[in-house]
Amino acid sequence: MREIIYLDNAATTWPKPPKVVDAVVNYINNVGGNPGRSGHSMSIEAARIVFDCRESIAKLFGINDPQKVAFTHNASYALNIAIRGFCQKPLRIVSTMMEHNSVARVLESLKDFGCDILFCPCDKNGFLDFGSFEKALYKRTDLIVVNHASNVTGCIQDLKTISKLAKKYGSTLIVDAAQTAGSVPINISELGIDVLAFTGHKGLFGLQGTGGLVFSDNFDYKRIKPVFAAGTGSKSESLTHPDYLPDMLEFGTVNAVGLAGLLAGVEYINNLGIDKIFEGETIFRKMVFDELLHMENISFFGSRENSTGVVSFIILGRDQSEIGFVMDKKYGVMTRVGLHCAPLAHQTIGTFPTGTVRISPSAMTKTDELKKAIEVIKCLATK
Amino acid sequence: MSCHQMNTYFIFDSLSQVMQVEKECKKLGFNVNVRITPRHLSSDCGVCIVCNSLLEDGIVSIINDIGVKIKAIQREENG
Repeated sequence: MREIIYLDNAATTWPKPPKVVDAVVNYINNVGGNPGRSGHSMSIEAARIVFDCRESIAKLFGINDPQKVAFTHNASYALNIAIRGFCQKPLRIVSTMMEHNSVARVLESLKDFGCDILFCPCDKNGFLDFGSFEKALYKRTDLIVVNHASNVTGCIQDLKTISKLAKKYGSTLIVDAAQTAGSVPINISELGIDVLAFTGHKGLFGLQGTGGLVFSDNFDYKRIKPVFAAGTGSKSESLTHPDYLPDMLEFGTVNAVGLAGLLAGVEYINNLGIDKIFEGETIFRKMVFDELLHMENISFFGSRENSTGVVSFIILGRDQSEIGFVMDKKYGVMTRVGLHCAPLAHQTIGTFPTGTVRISPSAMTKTDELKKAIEVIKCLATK
Repeated sequence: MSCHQMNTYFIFDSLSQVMQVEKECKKLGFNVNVRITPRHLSSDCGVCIVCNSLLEDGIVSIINDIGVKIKAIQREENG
């Protein structure tokens, strides 16, 4: 079998820690029940695992009440549920030019509902232009939605300043943490976030099909109305969907096998230490910049500092899809080429519509793997 | 003294609350069980917490401490 260097962890992490695999296999082989849909031992054991996962997510993000974690299929579902659920009437919403389509498309679609949407400019590295941002808030703004870190440049937005401005101008703050959950320390209470959306299959090392919303202890979650209605295993006598968390925002059977894996993923992160993981990503990023920034025919996008391990580049004069293809087929290096579902971000950094080649490590990436990938990029850039 | 033991059933709005209460009680050494909610206590399709009624006050205190809302409490003879 050929050697693979997987550097597409911003899309989904691979490999998963062995304990995640064990937890999933154990669930399938030995647990198997539907949490909350029956009262037998297998169903109750499934519910225990789901609750343990809920509790571990609450702790990870610094909230006290595990009931304020609602599981969804992924971050996109979470963001749709939060944003659409918040918009019960036409609102003014301010966001940024670095948003993924999981936010940008939702907001764009809300224009048809009469919402006033503004995407604030960011600099060439992707960092929010706070002058424009605060000016945008002068006009009464109901909701702010921001991407914690870009999936294109890796830039981490200054959430403390954003939340201070949100409080100052009376706006609710929803944060898309798809790229940072599990790789950047996040304490919702300390950062002043109202609602955080996360995915389970990236930095948290869970399975695809997991994600959720986390609500600040102080946020009145009833300001978000359920956008779906379904069976929840509770209040079964009623035709009205529950109005309490987490049932209010969990529609139908949760992905319990996925959450078993996510629980093991969060335990893996806690054992490594999220500060260490972030430190590792920072070292990787600096290594890439130090090794390649001086090369004349490579352009980098993003900053060396205040960023995740995600690095975007182009090799000048070459079709970037060809670079990605050769890296995969000839050298076994997995990257992601193109617009990364973030057209506004690529417009911001000047790479629209062709996009960039993106490499993204995880806590499982070995230094030697990154060194080899850097040599491959050097080799391709000098051809 | 009655030859029949009394059991206390705690009913909650959500399964997640039941799981939280069970975990907290067991952590503090209280012997509780999770079981299908008796149909005459609730038409819900969920589960509830049941314990020996002698433990009831302690368990109520735990539930209050963790901030979970009790939907109903019912004492029944364990025949």
